[in-house]
Amino acid sequence: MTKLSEGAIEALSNGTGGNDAVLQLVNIRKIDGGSGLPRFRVMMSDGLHTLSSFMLSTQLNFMAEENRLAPNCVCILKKHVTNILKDKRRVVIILEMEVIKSAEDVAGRIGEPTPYTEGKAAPVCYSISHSALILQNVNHPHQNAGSHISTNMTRFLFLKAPSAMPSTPGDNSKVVPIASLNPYQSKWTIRARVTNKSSIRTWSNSRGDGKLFSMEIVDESGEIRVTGFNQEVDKFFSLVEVGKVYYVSKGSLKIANKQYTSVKNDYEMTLNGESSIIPCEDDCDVPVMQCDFVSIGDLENREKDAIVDVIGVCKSVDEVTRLTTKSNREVSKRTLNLMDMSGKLVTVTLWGEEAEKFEASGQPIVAIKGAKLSDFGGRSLSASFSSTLMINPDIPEAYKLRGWYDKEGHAMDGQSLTEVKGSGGGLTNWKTLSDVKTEHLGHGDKADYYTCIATIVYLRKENCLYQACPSQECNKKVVDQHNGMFRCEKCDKEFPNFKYRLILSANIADYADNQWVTCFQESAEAILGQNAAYLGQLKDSNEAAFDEVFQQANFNTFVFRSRVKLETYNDESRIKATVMDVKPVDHKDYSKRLIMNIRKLAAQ
Amino acid sequence: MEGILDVPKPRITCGMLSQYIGRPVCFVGRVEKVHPTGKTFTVSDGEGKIATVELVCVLDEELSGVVEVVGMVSNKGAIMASTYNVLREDKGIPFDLELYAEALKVIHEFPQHYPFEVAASG
Repeated sequence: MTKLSEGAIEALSNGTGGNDAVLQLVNIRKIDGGSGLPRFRVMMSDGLHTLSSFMLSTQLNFMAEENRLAPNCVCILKKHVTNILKDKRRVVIILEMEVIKSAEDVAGRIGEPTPYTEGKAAPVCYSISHSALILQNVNHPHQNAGSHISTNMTRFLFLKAPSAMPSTPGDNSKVVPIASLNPYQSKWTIRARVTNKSSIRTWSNSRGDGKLFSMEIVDESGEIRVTGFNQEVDKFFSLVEVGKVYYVSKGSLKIANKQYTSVKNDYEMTLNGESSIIPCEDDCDVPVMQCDFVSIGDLENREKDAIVDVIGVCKSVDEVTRLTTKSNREVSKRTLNLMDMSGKLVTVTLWGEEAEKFEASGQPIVAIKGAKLSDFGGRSLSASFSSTLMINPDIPEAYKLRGWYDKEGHAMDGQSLTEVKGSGGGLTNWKTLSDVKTEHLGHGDKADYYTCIATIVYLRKENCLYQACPSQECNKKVVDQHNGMFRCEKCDKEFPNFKYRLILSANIADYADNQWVTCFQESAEAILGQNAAYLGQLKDSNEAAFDEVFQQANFNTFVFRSRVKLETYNDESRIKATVMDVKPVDHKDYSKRLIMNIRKLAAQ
Repeated sequence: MEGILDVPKPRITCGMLSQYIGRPVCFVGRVEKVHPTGKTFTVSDGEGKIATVELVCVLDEELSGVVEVVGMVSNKGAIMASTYNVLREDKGIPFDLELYAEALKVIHEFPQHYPFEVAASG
């Protein structure tokens, strides 16, 4: 039976020796270390005592991974260093160790060792693993031992017991995952990175004034929204920086108000007088951002007003423009186009400072967390004040996109989900007239817009013209006073003249169905090929010519952009369709689309 | 020759010439080279392949651009033109030959939806 170095454990624990100690390995445990490297914790015995606060230095990981360090094997501790934690506990880092007897050759536990304690109450196990987690930079090629290594040792970042925490042994370094937070437990500490911090917002209402700020924090298990009011704003706002990791404890939890946030957590946190936020230096475990990216191609399938995360290559960006809002505030706006591997393109709108600061050079990878999906122009995204914009983020999805883009993506034109104002490129949301009925377009709260190709099969020429107020902006129907004057109720004025305006009721049809639509001035003039004033003249003077216009206009095919909405009139609900825009058919575009649809159908 | 006008003439590309030997076809392509004699010229289709067109009467004008030829396919795979007409590039929308070739592919892939054998009425 191999002789173990009795007393070595005590010596190692006190830092008084232990060199070349012959020890038996009692237990070995793998711990997830920082920076992706696993760490191994071992419990060694000298026949008298066992001590579990041994850590294998990473250069010896291979021994554990090759199963050389199995329980019961006997080893010589050739080189080690002892480190003392802030709370006086010791950790022995094994730098070099040789197995002199493998586990199979050893019968069992040598002697009857008992755990060596230094008089500290709590068993050393759990808390140390956390501190061990933070051991970094052990993996230095230790060409010269001794002093070289000891200086490296000082770079180890150990758990700083946050001073605000009650110093119950074993409790002060216990970090729980964000996913486990709930309103029924109050003594917890989490360690998380701030991904988003809002600016201080103030309000003033009948109950008084107040200010708040909010932030989102993330750890390996999830994310949560944190809000601080009034005094907490003063305490914490300047302390917290986006991108840094903090220990947060004793916030109050309540059910999340999902209306304000896209953060995935049933609860949200409010900071109170007892809460503490302490910076944490070791942040390699904590993920930088938790994003659930939606492919741009999928955005079509998402509901409007949904909050999504997206990532894509910024293919193009427009200039910053300034708008004045309804409340007469000036705000900057900028749109950019994002494309991802689905080949689809979407327009993203940035506002305010983000719009102004955006650096567009070189088609960067842009990721947005919490962007709002709107059905403006089909599908488009807006970066609201609660969205986070990241340029060339350091995450795997970004690298994947970059690689794809450099290889194929840059040559693709991308199919835009957002309708571009003006002709041609980007008209989306094609429907057939039967789709309008089967999909119940217009039945929702908001009107639906769609585009279709259809042929005019009937034009109602009776009552297509009305007399309207001659004022520039006003189109209200005027009342004929029969004294040569015409009165406009809206402008509250009388005029000696009027202008003719068109409201054309038409029936349009395609292969699937037909539909009654109303066309106003511009669309009606486009369909009839004459302006309203001339038509009014014709109607009064030359009936035959007037009829001829309608005859000619009949059976022409156009591209219609229509708006449809369910309207209730005296207990009766009917779908009303209005033509917003009429365009001649672009046959090339139409052919391409048909071919694409045919191919799609054939593939099904 | 007059008979050809009453008969259905499938539109084809160069790749299909061999399948239509001895049959009347309609071929649309871009004029490549006109033979000095004026009796024959080459055309390229939307896929870039070349076919030869032989004329009965000599060309009396310089031919260029996209042209639509109606005729029989000879044993050698050339088109014996009965008639042709030029799709003028200066008027209207320029003809997209590649898109045309795409469309032809679809037509020939789904003959059940695009029957050519429709009898001419009365």
